[in-house]
Amino acid sequence: MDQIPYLERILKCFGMTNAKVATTPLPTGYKPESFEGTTTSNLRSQYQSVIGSLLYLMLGTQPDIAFAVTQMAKFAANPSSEHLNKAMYIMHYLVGTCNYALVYDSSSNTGIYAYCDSSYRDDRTELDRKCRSTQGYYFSFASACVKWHSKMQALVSTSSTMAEYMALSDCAWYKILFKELGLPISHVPLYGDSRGAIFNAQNPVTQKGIKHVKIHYHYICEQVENGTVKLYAVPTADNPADMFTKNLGPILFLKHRKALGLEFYPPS
Amino acid sequence: MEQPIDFVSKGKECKVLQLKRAIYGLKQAAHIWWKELDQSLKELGFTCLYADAGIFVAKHSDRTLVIMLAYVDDIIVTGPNTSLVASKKKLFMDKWECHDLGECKEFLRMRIDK
Repeated sequence: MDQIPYLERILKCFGMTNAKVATTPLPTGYKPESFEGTTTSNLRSQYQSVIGSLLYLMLGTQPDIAFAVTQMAKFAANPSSEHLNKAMYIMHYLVGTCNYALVYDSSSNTGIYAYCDSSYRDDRTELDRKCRSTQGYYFSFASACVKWHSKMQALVSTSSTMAEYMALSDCAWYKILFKELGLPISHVPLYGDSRGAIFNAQNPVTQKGIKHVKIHYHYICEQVENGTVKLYAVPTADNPADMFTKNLGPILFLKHRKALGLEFYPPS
Repeated sequence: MEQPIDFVSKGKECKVLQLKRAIYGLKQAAHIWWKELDQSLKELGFTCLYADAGIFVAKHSDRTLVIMLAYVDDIIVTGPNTSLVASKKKLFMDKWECHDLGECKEFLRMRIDK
């Protein structure tokens, strides 16, 4: 599945068809700062049209730019020329993915599984002085991504365990969808790299220390107890959801992108 | 609504019109269309999923499903049993004026290649 004709159209529209290729959507470790000055309406509308075009690609078939786009989209109200530069950097990356598609392989016999990750208190924007975390997760089915998500958390987390824990909780309802579609799934394997969060979810007794988390996040404990979700720990380097929470370097990024099922798919 | 330009009744220029049914462009139009679609799919034996309101399923007596994905007026009909899918699709197409585009090659500008 791909949006290649749409991608080609927006690249043409922004004059990027033959532009230089970037390996990753944003420079490694780049952390955008909000713009203190006031933007011009010209710059703003240009920025918004770039972000808008990218958003549709990201929602449709390009989970690889999810983090980059959602991060840059925060500045749509008051962008600086630096923000526009970085949004165009994403375009440079897309020039190189023109022949990439999400490839689902029913013969792979891989059922549904999910990975999640979050980064702790990484937000530095004016919008958010509360230091919220970013969470990301994705669901894979038939060896490629079917659902992905990269978002700033709605609550303030007080420890990194909490951040991971909240991400884990958000995933649980997918079981319902598959049940309604009549697909026999015993449980959804959910991989996270925070052993602390997994420990908390599996041992409801330890919840004393984390009472301040909103009740609905404890939904996951219930799901673990009745067996709809099974939690597994993976090392951070093997957790593709990492790319939804930070700007990775090229080696990890390409490795994770492959895990999402984005593959080279030459035009037939 | 206000009287449309060129259709203003003479002598009643200050009057407004009361709508008897939805027209295109209304804020409520989308919701009314969805209710209509939901109702007509119910009549065909489909129910809307709790998990995702855009997905409708009809369960056949042997428990095979016909699945319908709807995005406003773009619809994909699918399921494991091809003839069952075809019969449900025919029922739907008898009710609504629409085109059958055959095997799904594109949906919401996303290309699907098998």
